Amino acid sequence: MLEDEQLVKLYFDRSEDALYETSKKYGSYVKKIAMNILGDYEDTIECENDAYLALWNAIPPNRPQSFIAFLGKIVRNLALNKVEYNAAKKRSNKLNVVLDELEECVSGKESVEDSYLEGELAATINKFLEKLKKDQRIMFVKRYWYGESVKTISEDMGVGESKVKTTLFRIRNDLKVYLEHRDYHV
Amino acid sequence: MNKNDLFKAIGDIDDKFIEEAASVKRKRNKVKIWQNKTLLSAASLFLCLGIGYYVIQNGNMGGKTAKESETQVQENTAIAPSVSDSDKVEEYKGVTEADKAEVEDKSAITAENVQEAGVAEAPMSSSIKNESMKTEGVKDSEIEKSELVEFEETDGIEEDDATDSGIINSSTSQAERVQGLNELAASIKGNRPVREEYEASDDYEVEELDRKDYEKYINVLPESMELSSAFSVDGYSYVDFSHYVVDYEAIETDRTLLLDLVIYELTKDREDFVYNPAYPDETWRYIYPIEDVTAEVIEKSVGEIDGVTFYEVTVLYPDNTVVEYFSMNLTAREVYEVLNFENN
Repeated sequence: MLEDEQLVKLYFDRSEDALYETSKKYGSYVKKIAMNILGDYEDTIECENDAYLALWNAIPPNRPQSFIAFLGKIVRNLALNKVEYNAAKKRSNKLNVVLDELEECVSGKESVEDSYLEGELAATINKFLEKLKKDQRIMFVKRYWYGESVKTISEDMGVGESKVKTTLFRIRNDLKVYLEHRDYHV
Repeated sequence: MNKNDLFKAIGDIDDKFIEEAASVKRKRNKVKIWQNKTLLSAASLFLCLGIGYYVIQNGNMGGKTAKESETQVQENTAIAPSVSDSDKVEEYKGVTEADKAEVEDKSAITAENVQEAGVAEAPMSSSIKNESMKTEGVKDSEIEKSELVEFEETDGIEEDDATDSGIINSSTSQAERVQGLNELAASIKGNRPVREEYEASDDYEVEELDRKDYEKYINVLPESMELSSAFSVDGYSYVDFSHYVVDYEAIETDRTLLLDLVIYELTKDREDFVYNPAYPDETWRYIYPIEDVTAEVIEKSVGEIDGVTFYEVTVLYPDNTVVEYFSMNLTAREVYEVLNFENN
């Protein structure tokens, strides 16, 4: 399989092999992210195809430092858009469970300050993640970025499901306090 | 802010975290299966060599027919279990007294000796098979089982601990439960290996620490507790010791007790983890100086997950050591008594 740099070069060369090679190398990665959020196979395939198209349109001009993260973010955003579309049609999805967990960290109340700080929220979360132990951080990202199930995380990390649940619970509590001390209305 | 805002913000986290999480997959178990298969192959090869050597030693090369050899193998196999019976051995093989002594010695061969002796113990082939298979843990059924439960083994806590948790289960009064906890804690004193999930994963660079490296932290622990694992992860200077009295899997089933200790030294790069009334806006984690820890403080640190009540309190000791105490299925008073704050 091609290295990521070679993949990016194919996109810059506008070679259609770029899509084939991306699908070959990252097809399962893309499907996994989409499936974790959408929970529906047809929607997942549709999201995957949209992701390749979006990638084709985004590179160039973008030259991602991390191809896998760049692709992952595209898939995640597309999947979330699909979720919103489905929500409008009252279709359920697996994401609701993940969102319900995150609800413990926030109040749901909007404020002017929140809007102002919204742009900095990701940076704040980055700082928070920096301070976590590596295994805690991986659990958090797997759960709330990739949307993976607790069972999958426990298998990937070789720990019990209860350990994952408890760790995530504690991280959510820590995140809540962390955000509170930084003037987020949580 | 609502949950959707937060989820979207998490979507913009640094690429390195996304890569880091993507890199963690189920590597450990592939190794495990590979090891089991290798062990099975090695055991089979060992058995074949043993039988082959036996046939050679007992005259197949000396012109015996295949039928004769087969008969002799059967006879030897039949006699093997009672090989210590020197008369039979002598009668069968017509050996000298010296040979007889040698055969008797062989009868005492243990599984370890079999491994060391290699193929020289051919007459014991059937028992070698059994012993070596037992020793290597490569019975077919075990392999199937290990593959079926390949992702189930986790905390590296021995079965005895789960059994010991019955001490807590059977107790009824608060005092008995506390006593049970102390007994349980005392029973698991001593050195244990680094926790399995850290030891086995290729994604963690783990350095097991010498006891002297963490001995000073032990001083802040209650006497009934002794830390058993010490390691640094990825070379990060943060020192994390944790110990589970009852493993998480047991919690899944019998909802007994969990006591988790995480200890680290309060270093400069972790200062903003500390809640200190003097710097309320700069810090976020509530860490109580030891002298401020009361049963009421513990009561305030209550939480619940999956219907199980837990208490979590983080304590700062005078030598700048921080200990996070995390318990499940204990009352605040029990936690306070078990951790024996008054005497710390």
